Amino acid sequence: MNNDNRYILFYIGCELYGTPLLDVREVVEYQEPKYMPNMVSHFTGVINIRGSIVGVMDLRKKFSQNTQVNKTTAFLVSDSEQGSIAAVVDRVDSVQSIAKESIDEKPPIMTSVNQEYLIGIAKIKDQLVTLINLHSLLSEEKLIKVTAAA
Amino acid sequence: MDGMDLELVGFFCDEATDLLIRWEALCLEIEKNPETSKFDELFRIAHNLKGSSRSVGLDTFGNFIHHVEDGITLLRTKKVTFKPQYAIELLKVQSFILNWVTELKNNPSIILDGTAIADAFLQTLNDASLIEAFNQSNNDVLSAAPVIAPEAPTPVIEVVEVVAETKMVSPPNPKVEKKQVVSKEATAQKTDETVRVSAQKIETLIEMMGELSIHQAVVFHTLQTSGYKNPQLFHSAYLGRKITRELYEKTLALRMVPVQPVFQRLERTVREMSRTLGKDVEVEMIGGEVELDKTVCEKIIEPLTHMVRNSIDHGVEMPEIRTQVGKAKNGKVKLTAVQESGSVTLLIEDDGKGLNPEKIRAKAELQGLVKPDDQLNDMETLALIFLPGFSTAEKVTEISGRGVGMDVVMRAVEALKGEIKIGSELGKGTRFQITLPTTLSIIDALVIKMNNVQYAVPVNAIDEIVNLREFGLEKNENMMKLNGHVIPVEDLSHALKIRSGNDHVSKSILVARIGQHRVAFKVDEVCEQQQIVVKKFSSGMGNVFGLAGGTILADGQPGLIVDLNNIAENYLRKIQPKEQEYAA
Repeated sequence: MNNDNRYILFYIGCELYGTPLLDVREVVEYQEPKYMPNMVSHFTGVINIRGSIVGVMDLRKKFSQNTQVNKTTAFLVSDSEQGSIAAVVDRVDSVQSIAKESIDEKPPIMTSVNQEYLIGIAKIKDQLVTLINLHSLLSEEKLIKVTAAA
Repeated sequence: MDGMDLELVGFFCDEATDLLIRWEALCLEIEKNPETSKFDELFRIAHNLKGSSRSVGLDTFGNFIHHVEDGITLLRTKKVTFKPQYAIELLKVQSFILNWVTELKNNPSIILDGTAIADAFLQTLNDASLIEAFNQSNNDVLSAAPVIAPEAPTPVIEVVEVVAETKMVSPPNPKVEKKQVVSKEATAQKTDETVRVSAQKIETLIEMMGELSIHQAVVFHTLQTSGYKNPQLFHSAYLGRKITRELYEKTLALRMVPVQPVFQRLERTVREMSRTLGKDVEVEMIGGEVELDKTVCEKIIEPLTHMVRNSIDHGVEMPEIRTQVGKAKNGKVKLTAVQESGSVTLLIEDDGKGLNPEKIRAKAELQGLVKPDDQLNDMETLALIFLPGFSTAEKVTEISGRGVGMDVVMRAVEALKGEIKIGSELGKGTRFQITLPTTLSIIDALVIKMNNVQYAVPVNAIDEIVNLREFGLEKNENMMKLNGHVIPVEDLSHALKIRSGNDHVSKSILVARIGQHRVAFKVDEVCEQQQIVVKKFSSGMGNVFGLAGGTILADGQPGLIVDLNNIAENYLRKIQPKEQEYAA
């Protein structure tokens, strides 16, 4: 099976999103992040994943969704350029193969997703899926609000 | 050749291999982008190789590097304009040295003939330097050409001399002809085989072992509380726990090595230096079996070597003078390692002439490091030698290196989270005391609570802990009087900009000391002292203000490590923006 066109689909609020499967190292059960000061507001803290400290980026806050934590809330852990970062999503849906032809690349619509991270919009079973590049989103996003004094 | 030398050569080979890998990378970078900083690094590598090889007795090797170093100096000082061809020459030299090092691992006394290589390299550069120098002026040429024979009358002859000196033997193919000097049994013996494993792999192993122990404990606990229904299962779990614990200890010990090889290398340095200087110095070593983290061991060698060199060069007197002042003819350098809980103390003592506080003071004033009206006691005066810019070595000699000062030693020790103290009695000797943490990754920390969240504060950053229930604050809680001094008080949760709730009551105060200044920080609660494993933040979170990293606390929760010194420095800078000297 070709991994290049496989995407992991997940919900933030009631919106369905997808990101290349290979961008995600693992999916982890939700745990309450430990608050970390001096960071941007959607960086909600750190968690312990098998003994290592991993930063948490709340995609719900990032995409302006006010959903509550429930049983299906999960972390998508990705090895970004900034180190391992866990992204909070409301529900992990499935893994799907999406052919390149069925992706509408960079459609000229306003989305809550910055165009730089947007791969395109795909249609799966009558549902529209916003495909984002999680790796570059987590890599380029500024996390620190107050840096150490030089 | 005895066992000690074999071990030392092995040590050297490992170090050299790493340096040579960097050399290769540098050459490749230089080829594309010839920056001065890269030549500087290349020079440092060559200089390290020279120093280390000589200190383990590989003189021929050291001499070869010395010639190469001269060539690099030409490029570094821009006496020769860089051409890509030189990077290729440098790479040729690199592969030759690497080949030599590889051979050394199997036979510590092997000598390869690098004449042709060194010749070709220097010839190319010298020709270029001469042409360039001639185009400028004749005076520049003297300094441009390598300084092997400084008294040479004209630059042209000088170059010939370089060639003559390196061309001791001139075989057709340098790599085929191997001259083997000294004993036969050396060929039979091999250096103790070690496997170099990346520290990252061991780190991962330690982490996984830690996790395994936690789960093992949970399994055992569950079995205990559910009653001993299945003796067989209980027995296995019991043994499993025992083995896991042992395995964990063994894993942690992977990083620890005895300091004996470090001491031996220092001894070698002492012997060779005293021979060169005509001084008679004995070495006494105590506590070589004390173990330190391997990284700490590797990084401490260079500063220690520098200190030992200083002791012999500037401390121990010539035999005649020693007899005159009524001391034993032989000088003495004593190296001691003492194991303490969580740390190791290294002592370097000599019985030389000691440090003269007046001279140090005068010199520091001359350099503008202290003002004439500054009041300093003897301890503080001695500590001046650690300031950058205070270097006693004005000329570059084989002994004192190329002008590296004690400030470099200080910085190296601080980088290892260690402490250095100095003591000296005029006429009796000097004593350096270095305290180092046993490992870099495990530290003692105080667990505190702010706004109901636990944080860890490294114990070595805390000067004092004050219980606020027994102690009042003054001036709107912004100041306190402690042992007769007034010190400012800041709320740590404000300094860190932690959101604070309404039930925010400070029960304790942590006092941090930055040089002469002290700052007190209010915290909600001091919980307990714990040994924690420091985990560096990944790059995206790395440079956040006030935090030094993260850790997993004893309850399995992630915790943040508060960088109290950083916060205190920042606070002082804010209230007194003009002075910038708190880092001292």
